[in-house]
Amino acid sequence: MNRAAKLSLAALGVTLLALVPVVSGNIYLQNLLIMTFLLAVLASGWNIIGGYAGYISLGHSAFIGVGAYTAGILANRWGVSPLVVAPLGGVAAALIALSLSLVTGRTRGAAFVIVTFAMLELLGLVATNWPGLTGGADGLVLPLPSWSVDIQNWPFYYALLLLVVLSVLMSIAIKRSKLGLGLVAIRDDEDKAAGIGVTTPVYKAIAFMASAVLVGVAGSVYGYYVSYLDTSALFDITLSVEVVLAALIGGRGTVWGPVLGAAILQPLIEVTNSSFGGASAGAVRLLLFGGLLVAVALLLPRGLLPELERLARRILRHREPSLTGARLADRPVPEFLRRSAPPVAADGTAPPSLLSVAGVSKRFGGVKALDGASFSVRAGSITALIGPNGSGKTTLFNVMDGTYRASAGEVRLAGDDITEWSRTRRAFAGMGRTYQLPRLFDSLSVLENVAAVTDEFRLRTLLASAVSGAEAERATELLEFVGLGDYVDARASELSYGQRKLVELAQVLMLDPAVILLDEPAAGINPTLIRRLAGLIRSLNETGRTFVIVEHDMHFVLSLCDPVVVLSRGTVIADDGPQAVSSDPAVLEAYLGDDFVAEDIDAPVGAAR
Amino acid sequence: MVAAAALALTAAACGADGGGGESGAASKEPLVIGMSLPLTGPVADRAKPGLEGYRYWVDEINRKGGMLGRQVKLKVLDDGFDQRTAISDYTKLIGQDKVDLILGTFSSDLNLAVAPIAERYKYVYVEPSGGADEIFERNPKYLFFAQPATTQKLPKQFVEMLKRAPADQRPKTVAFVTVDDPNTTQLEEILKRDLGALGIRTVLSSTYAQDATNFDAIVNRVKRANPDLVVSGAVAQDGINVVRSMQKLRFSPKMLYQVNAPTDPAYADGIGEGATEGILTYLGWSAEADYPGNREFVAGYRKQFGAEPSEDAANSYTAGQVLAKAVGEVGKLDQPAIAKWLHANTVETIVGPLRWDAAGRSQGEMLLAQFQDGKLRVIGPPSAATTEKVIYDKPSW
Repeated sequence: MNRAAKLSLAALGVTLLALVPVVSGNIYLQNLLIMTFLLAVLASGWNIIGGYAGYISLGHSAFIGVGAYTAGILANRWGVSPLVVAPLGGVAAALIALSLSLVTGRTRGAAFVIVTFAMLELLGLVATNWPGLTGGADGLVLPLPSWSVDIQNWPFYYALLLLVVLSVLMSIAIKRSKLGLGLVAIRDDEDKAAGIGVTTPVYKAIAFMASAVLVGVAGSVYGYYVSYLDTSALFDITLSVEVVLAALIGGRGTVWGPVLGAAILQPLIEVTNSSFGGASAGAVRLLLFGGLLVAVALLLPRGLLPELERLARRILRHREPSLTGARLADRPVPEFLRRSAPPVAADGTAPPSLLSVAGVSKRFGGVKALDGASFSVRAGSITALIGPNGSGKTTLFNVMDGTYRASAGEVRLAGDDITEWSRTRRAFAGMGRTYQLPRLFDSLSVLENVAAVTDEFRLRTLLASAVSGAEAERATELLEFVGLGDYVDARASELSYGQRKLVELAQVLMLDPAVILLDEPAAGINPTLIRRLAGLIRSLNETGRTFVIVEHDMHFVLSLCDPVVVLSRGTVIADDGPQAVSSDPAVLEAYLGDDFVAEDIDAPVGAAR
Repeated sequence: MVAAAALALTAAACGADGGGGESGAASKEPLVIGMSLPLTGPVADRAKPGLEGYRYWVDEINRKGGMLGRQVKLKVLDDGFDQRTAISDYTKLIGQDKVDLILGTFSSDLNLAVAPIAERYKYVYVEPSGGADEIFERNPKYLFFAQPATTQKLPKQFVEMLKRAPADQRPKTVAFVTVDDPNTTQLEEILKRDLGALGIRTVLSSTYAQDATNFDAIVNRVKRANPDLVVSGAVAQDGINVVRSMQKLRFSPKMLYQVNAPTDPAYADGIGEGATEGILTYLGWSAEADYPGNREFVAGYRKQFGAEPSEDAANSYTAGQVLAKAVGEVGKLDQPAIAKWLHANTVETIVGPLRWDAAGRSQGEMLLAQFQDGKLRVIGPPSAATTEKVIYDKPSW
């Protein structure tokens, strides 16, 4: 379905819903829809952190309480309608969300779930034990609506319908933005995301606030609808669980899934409430919703919408030619990479050191992975880092790119001591890195994988669309350069191993880096691709970009790299030209072996296989 | 979304056509009374006898020919002690099912949430529970409280008894141990004022949270203050724990006035059979009280359900009595007229004659009762007393 069709369908739906109270005077139906809208706003908000960023909150209904109390207290003090101060309820909820993001900076997974639950309980306790502000256990009584009974619940109805529309629009805007791609990147692989310029604490803080603000406003409206605020009802776990269930049913991480889930779940709740009576009703309800949760987890693990979409894709797929195996087209280095290339020392003097490690050690408990390793990388060089398995090559990469903090020693980049810098800051300073096993964000398309990369932090870029416009063009150009121009719309998970390596290279290039760390780029890929990769590295190197390559394929290393640094037991044992290193007795003993013959260095890479 | 909207519209159209519940006295259709009770969840134990009280009342009224010549049917929903569900249940009863009448639910929390709906759609709402002052603060016109008195007047007979007490038996000092709850905090304020006027000095005032389970620290402070009278503003089990803590720390005040907990059937077991002697509490209703219809209610209920009626059962029976009387007097299902009649008249019930102020606060009085020989005896007001004996000096435990 194209965008215009989607848009007009959504507009039709909103118009129909807007007509309901006018056509019908049924207040019960209004109440049902009001509760559905409330759940939809909550689920949409939850989806931004729970769906996009993968941070499951089990305390999201707390923002309903925060909004309701803020608006209720202010309305009572200032003598205005709670609807007037409802936006302030949203502001208060956003501020609480901001502090939550600060508190949970390093909390992930199950621990995060527990923290959000604790937040819900804590806010409830504060509200109960602060009678001067909230009325404490007595609750807070709001004035009854002042409008005529003929208008029924229209103000609540339309206010919440508007909030649903705003929630959906916000979800769409975020999903298309660099922020949204960054959030999905965080969900798929938070450490990798930090390495491609996703400022994870900032992304999360914005996402938390976005997920809470409209919920807070909705809470203000809802509080007025109930007209009596009670801590035990407003900071209740049940609603939080219903939110999660709604989002899971509809499809988390999708724009419409949470709304769809709410539209399914709330009527179901109503039906069970009014059709099961008697003493065992509670047990029946628990069984029903527990069973529903299990059924969703087993049968629709990704929710209704994604499953339907997958089905549709599968049907359409039959008509499209398979992409894997399509020819990779050659392209010149993109203009923007040429333009921004650092100057190469052309006057024959030794170029300055761009990246250096000095006396770096890294301990893991009793194991010393790095033991005073020192070497420096000249600007414009292709430096190889070789050594036997377990010699500390990847650990050294991890220390250089900021994944690990060195136990001792320092790392310098272009003269700056970056030992204590975060990964993201190093990425912004011009350091890019690929992994031994390529780490892509599997829920994103190939284009989105590259467009998620940010080379500097700008709020405007963050909120602008990333799937169209300049950023998307840049990403497309890079994908064409690495030879994946035909694959921009493919899912990352559909690519072959070698293609994934190329996408990861494009991601790194999106950072416009001065130095690129490649961890075993030639491992496990076919000779054609190895040749292609060597070509790409050479042409990028010609634009002045510096490479550090960890590699076991000695033909690849010796034909491409100069100098070659050899690591053994966490220390540098040789640092010289390829010829000298390959005949160094210490290197032969530690790594290459006595029978190593460096005769075919000059043969084309890969041809020897 | 479109599908949901279309569905909603269809349902809306049906709802609009299928209405018209009110059909007058001539109809032989049963008259439906709707309610939503917390039959599951934390107060389920109290709502169950509450529902039985309603059931007993309906069976009785149907035996006598029904209401306005029509048989009465109850439509009971369960809100699981959840405000959202209670609101949507009552909205459904009024807006969708278009029941003829509604009756109230249990607990102040739920009634606070539900009362505005009844008010907004002009349905007379007689509630068997929910005496907290906030409910009446908004000056509702359709709300009527079916217990003899709201919290404001709850301790009146206790104060009267102290006034009557011989000078040398009257306590000189008082300590308050109060749970943080709308009812009990108000109670403490009122008693501080009234006891102060009698010259009884407050030596300690302590509040604890609703989820508190250990009271040793508080009771230790009470013991050091050594008051003649302890006022324990409890809601349920916490009252038992307060007394047990006093027993553990060997502090036995000369007089103990405790609310809510002593009417719990498990009370005597909780603090020890012999320890109840002399403890004072209020009663909204007594099985022994000699109000018209009370004996029949107690006997009939016992026969039908095989158990003693609880105060909650009596309260919902009372709510039914009030509604039936007003509807019968008005002669038709005209909600504003029913409300108007209730504001202007007194209704004889099993908790005594009830009348209401403009906001629906009942103007009756709670009874004062005391454990004597293991049973709660009414000692005030003198007109309703089942014994003349009053124990001023509680035996120590």
